[in-house]
Amino acid sequence: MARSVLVVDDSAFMRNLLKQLLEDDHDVVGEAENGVEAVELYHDLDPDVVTMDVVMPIRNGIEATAEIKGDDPNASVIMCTSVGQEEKMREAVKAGADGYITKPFQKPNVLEAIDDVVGVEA
Amino acid sequence: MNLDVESLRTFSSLAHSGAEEAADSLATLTGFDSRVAVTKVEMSTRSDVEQEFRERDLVSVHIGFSGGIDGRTVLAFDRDRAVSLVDALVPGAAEDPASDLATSGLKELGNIMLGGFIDGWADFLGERIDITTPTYVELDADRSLADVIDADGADGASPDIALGGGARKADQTHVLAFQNHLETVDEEAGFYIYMLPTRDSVRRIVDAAGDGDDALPVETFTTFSQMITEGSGQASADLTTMTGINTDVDVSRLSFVPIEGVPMQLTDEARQGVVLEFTGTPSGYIAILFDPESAESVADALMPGMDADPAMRKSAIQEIGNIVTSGFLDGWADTLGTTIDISPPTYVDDIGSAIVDPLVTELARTQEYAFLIDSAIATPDETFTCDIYALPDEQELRTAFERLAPEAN
Repeated sequence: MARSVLVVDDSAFMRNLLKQLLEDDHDVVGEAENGVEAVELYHDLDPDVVTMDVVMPIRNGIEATAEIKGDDPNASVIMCTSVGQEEKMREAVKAGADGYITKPFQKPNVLEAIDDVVGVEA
Repeated sequence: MNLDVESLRTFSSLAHSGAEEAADSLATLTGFDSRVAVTKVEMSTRSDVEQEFRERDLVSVHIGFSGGIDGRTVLAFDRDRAVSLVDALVPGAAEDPASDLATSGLKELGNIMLGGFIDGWADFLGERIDITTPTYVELDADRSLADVIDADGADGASPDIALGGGARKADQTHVLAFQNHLETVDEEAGFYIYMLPTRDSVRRIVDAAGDGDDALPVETFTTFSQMITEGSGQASADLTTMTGINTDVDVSRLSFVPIEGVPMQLTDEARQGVVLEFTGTPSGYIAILFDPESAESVADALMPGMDADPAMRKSAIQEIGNIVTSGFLDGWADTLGTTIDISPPTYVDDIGSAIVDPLVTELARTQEYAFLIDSAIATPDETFTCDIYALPDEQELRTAFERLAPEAN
């Protein structure tokens, strides 16, 4: 089942790449460049899933995730990060992240992560 | 054997003085003025030292030394350019640069320059140091630097210059090398002097420099050097995953260099890439740089078949810099049991030395010397190369070393 996805990443290249990876299976309904935009767009679009970069200017992904999950505990947020440090992962989990994928990733990793957090039922 | 930053400063200063002696010898012999451009104390593997020779297409004159300290010292240079200087020493040498006469002149030049270099160390130690006759060496496919070092001992014995580090192969053992770059003022000729003391000699000169309160086992530095190699390996793997092109780590080194010498470690050729700040233990700056052709190749590989606009290509380079940095630093954080935060990448497009200038200026507020970490990742067919330069804060890197010390013991 196609899910609505909000892609959050400060890199235009990475947002573009994620859109390409997801376009056959899901609907990318919005893109945000930083944590502030992510929170705003989440409330506007109410997506099924958010893919959230960690390191972003203005507001980082961990802070944005904490706010989104604070407002909507049922939100599904996948951290999508190049930072693979164990301590950073623990921080993301603490902020309420439902899953994470580490860059560089391939299409199956992204689809699997979405299935893991929102289920695969039709 | 413990090593502290104060000892490294002493070594750096001593190696610089030795190199100035060598530069004076060169001027006396040939009439050409020269200056010591950079002196650095380098922790690397023998294969990495060899890689420097091969990259720069250098030939060399080797001299063994023994007495107060033992080891090998090497004068490396571009043969054709050096021969033009030797003509002043051996008239007629430049007419046939490949001749035995020219080679003989180069050996003599090496003998005198390296003799001056070693004299400075003997004076510091207050001990006599004897040198062997010079050997002229050209590395080729059948002859590695490790072969040369192992074979050219005055007494026929293989000098133990390895500092350890759990190496699997002899050429992967870590060595402490003192590297000096001499430039002639009016001629386009440069010389590199390497001094590779044996392990016992490193112990002796460390003892002579004195252990400070913050001295750490020398193995701490080799452990850190291995960490750099592993970080480079992860960065290489991430580059391969992103681009679909196989890459390998060419070089990874830890050097201790006067802060003003850092920009000179980069060439004045154009570079594109990213600069990031990292904060934690340690904090500092990192630059991920490509030559323009490599940057094009990487962007093409990241966006195959796409007619991407310049902004998207720039974004792709920023993202690859981001991912390479994370691959490089994540292992450090996990090994040190800490977190290292990484800033968003800033795109840079300038000559290499100008890119690192602002980073050096920032660090120079609080330190006179820098630990410079440099790695090179390349594809076997040279489709692209990626250079990584990390400049950690000296004080914080010292704290990181302290965290590693128990593991090293």
